[in-house]
Amino acid sequence: MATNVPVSNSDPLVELRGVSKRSGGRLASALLRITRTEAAQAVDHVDLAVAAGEVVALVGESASGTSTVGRLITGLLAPSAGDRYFAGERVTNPRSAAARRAQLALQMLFPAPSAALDPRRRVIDIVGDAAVAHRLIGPRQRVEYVGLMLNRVGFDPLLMRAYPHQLSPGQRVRIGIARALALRPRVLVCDEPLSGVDVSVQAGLLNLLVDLRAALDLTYVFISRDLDAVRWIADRVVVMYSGRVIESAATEALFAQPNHPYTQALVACSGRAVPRKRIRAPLTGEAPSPLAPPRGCAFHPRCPVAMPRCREVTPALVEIGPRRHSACHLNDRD
Amino acid sequence: MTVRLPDPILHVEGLRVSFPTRAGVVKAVEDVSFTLGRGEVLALVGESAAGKSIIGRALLGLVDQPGEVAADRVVLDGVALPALTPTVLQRLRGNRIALLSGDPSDAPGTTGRVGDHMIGAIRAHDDVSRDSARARARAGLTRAGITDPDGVLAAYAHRLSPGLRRRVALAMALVNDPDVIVADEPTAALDATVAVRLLHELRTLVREARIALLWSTRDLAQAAWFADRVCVLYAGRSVEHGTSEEVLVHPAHPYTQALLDSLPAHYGHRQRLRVIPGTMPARADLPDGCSFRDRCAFADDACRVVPPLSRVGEGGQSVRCVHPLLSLY
Repeated sequence: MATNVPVSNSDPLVELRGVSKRSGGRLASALLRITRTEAAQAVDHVDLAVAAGEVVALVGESASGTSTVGRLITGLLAPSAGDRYFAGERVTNPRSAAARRAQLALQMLFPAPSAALDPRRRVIDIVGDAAVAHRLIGPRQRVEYVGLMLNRVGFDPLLMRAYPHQLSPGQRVRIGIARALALRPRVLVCDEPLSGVDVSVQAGLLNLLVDLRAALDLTYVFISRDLDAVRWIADRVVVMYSGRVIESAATEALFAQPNHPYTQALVACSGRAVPRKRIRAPLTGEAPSPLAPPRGCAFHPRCPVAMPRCREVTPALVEIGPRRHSACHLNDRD
Repeated sequence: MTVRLPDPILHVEGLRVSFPTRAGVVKAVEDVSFTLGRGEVLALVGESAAGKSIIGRALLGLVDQPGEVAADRVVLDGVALPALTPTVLQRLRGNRIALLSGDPSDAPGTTGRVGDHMIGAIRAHDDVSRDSARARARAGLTRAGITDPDGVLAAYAHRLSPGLRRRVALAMALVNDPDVIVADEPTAALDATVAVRLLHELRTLVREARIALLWSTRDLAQAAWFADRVCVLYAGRSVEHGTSEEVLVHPAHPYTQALLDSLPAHYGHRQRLRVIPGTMPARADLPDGCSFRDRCAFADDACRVVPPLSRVGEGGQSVRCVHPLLSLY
């Protein structure tokens, strides 16, 4: 069986082209009166295209840039360089009509549901206010509309007067989903949506995400460090390390044959709850600081197969198979 | 096959922890028993509020007033402890039984340098000079896999990376050569590659130093990979106990099976996940009998009494269930 990418090759719905994001820099230096300009390179030249209906997972650990990419996709952060496209249109000026359309169509599910919901507002306000403000519904339709949204995410509408602290972590995630759905989005960027939720609750939420996608024709960008959940839900996986994409492939191809040594390590640290005879010697060290990423390939200090070249030259993301990309010098032909 | 009990160091029988509240007595831990062998890893597995952390804290004397800790019998290295009172446990804590916390705000402390904390911990139990305490702290850091012990000793904890901070906590647990380490979700919030590395080294270390590890975790996969034995907790009670092979490959309790069935790794692509209905009951009003019965597919009237832990299979696997998924031994 060929490992075809299970999506149509239609035009992407959302696209980032050559997008970079630095934080800190001159403004921070001026404010903090630091003479030396210290900028964190959060995201470095990322290209990402997501087709309508696709579930693309962004995988990476601390400081890999996955969350930043999620915020760049939804427009919550402006890129330092590069362009963002939605439905074929370049979105630049945040006041343009194109930006407004993208703003509503691209919604975000935030991590840590306890921090993402305003503790002083009731469920009905959290879910309903944005829809009223954007004139999707009139103020009188609010109760009915919020009830509809809550039903859709499996949350009892009778509890719409509750405050977030009265809810369980799983219920809070459902409110986060309802809040996003209330704006009738086409794309949901889910940033670690299941963090802090017990496994038995997580299963119901994963089922819900799949049901909603089918019912509402949604496209997902699924940001997670849980590779088991990613393997279960995603069509395609994009692996990031230190602000760069280092591998991308169809989900099954990636898990069957991870190409990049970092992806191999990630895959080895996931899987079924079954005793193993041998655990492959896991990686040493930790993710590099975005303030001072290593020269050459950012992964080389932890890489078990690093060569002298890896310390000097940053490997480019190249095609290594049909719709498969990897950024590793092991794939160099010469 | 016989029950494997390599050189027991800690034996706990009928451990109970309760907190009196206005809503009634909250039984945080109810009748938990286990034996830990030297060099052995026992995983306490459960979801939030199952009672995993409080078991270790009870053995360390870290349950705050008005919490009450009691046990039928606790034997440490062949000597029965008279009672689990703070004064009895304070002498053992950090010395014979050490804590490895996964909470970065717990250890190694945010004020003062790492070295001051470590030297203080050593001199609290042993009357040694600062210099020899410092040498022991250095050795502990090296054993915990830290390549630059002097740099770390001089550093403030908040300047260290999360993984390094966890290694310092491990070094602090090691400095007084404990018999037992209570590791309370030691890899919480660490990246998977860093967590797996740390667990790998931790297991090698306790094997070589013949330390017993009481490890609480919510990650069933990591428990399967690194624990010798697994104890599954639900609403403060142990519901299943056995080797990791027995419990996680051939579970006998419907709750263990349901937990394993909610892991996406055990399913094909987008294949519908089985969900456990309902939520864990609040501890102040537990149902009579089996705490899981309201959520269990097999429950009937027989589940109105709390079943004892009974052996199933031919090994040491035991289960607290009237309708176990494996036949009783």
